[in-house]
Amino acid sequence: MPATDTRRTTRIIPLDLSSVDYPAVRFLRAEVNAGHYAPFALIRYSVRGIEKSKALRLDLDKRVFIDPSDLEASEEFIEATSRAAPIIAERVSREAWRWFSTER
Amino acid sequence: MPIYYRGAGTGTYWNLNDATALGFQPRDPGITPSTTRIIQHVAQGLTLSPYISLTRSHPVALHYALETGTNQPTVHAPAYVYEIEINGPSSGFTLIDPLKEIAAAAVGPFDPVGYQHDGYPTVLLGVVSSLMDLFLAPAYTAIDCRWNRSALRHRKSLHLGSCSIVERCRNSCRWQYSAKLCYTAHRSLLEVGV
Repeated sequence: MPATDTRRTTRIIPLDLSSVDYPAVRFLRAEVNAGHYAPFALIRYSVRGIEKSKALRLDLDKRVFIDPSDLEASEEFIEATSRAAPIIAERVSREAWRWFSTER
Repeated sequence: MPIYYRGAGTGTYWNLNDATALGFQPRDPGITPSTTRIIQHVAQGLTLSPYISLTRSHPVALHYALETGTNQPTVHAPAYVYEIEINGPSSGFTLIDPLKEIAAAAVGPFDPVGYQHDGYPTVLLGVVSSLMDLFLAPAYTAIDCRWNRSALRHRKSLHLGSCSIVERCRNSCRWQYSAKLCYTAHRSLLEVGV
């Protein structure tokens, strides 16, 4: 099957959040589909001040990160991301929804 | 012959590994299959399970491919949608319809803990999308608690910053409204980055 150019664009939602219990990880920004609302976001993050090349995959409806252990193996990281996921998901989904319903 | 689809976002296992050459296999086939595992797989997005998700909807697979990679797809690192043609039931695997499996495991109407909801008629809207989670609030409870003095006292105690309160609130219907306040407080703590 030939490749398809979806002409997809993304929108950045600043976050700059850190976990209370594990401040080494910082959630920097979310990347969401700018063309239409999608219940997913890529979350850029840093560990001890160093931004990672791969993003966390956030399911906005389920409010969970998909396989965070694939990116970082430490228990603290897994726990911090699982605690932060619903909070970030609510913020990102409401921000994205507001943007689609008013500003586009 | 039914055709199923599966999206593979950039950087994910089935994006980096060609399933047309390797064949699909679940990430952990050693785990004993069960209804609980199906629920975990669907509800929590756990891929460390004895299952692998397929869909009859190409747009759904496309969505997963484009939106759930570890980086945005590009021309040089594209996302993929697999098209899987299944010839029949004797292909060395079992196709499971999670809806039927979970429904079959539901308790009967005389069970003391039923699976039917006891919220408003619109409660399913909250199930469909987290954007409409306000429809999940138990009927009347939120209104009662809004004027409950204890709830207000509880709200003040949140400023002390004890996150364990969140769990306590969630465990009590009486504190549903307070739970929402707790949630807000917890979020603001996170934003401050204390």
